[in-house]
Amino acid sequence: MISPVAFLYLAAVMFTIGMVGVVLRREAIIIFMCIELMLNAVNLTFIAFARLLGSIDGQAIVFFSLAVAAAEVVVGLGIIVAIFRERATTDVDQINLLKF
Amino acid sequence: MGVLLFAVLALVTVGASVAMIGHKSPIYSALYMVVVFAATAVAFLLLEAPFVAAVQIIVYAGAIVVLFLFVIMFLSLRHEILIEHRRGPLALVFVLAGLVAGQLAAVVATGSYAGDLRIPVPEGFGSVEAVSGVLFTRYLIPFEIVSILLVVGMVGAVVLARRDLAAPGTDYAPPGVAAAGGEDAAEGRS
Repeated sequence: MISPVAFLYLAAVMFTIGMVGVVLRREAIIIFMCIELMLNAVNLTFIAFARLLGSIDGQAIVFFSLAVAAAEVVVGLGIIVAIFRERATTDVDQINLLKF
Repeated sequence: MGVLLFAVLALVTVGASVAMIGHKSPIYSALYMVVVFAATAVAFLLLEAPFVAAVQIIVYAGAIVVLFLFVIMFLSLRHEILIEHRRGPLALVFVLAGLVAGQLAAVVATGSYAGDLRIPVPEGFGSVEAVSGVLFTRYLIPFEIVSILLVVGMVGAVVLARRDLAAPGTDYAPPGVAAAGGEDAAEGRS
């Protein structure tokens, strides 16, 4: 059987891909999806460590992470919709009111 | 068998992730996101976490992706917005990504971990009983706080979805607010 350490590497790759997406893309909604991908990679790391250490706590923490991600998606998408109403765009390069 | 399964899983996950961040249309990105989440659920199953895998499918691949698709349809993004990528030094991005990936891999590689999946875990590891066992004892207070968080998220979504979001005193009013007014118009539109 394959070692859980392999899943740690897979999670690292997924996290990096999500990071590249956040830096590369300009639509707020795609950036948001990439953040979800990174969260997912972290969840995979938690599960892999839960298996490695034979401890159930990692899985319980993933449960919390899921709940937080759900709340984050609801509020974040609400913000994106509100921005789109104001600006008629979700391009993050044009939403620069807080840029100094 | 296990190695082959993992290889296919890793290929699907990485390929779908790359397609997700690379695709022009957000709709396809959301659909690739379903693939990524489903593949991750399979990984959870391989790591003896059936309950979390089921929750992953229901919450992520179900609720969250549907919410994303709903918002994408709602925004009805124009094509010229969709195809623009960030301008700038692309090479720098990939150098940074390589650094991060190398760092993560180095952290994993230098850790000392016990063996492989043949290490026995207790019977029923990752089952609903096992997870809820710690969830309702050791993590009871965080669990209750999560319920508050979800209520706050719900209220936040309702507040953000109000049409009269522009604060009084600002000179900007979203187009159509004065004419439309009320929740009915908001529902009827788009």
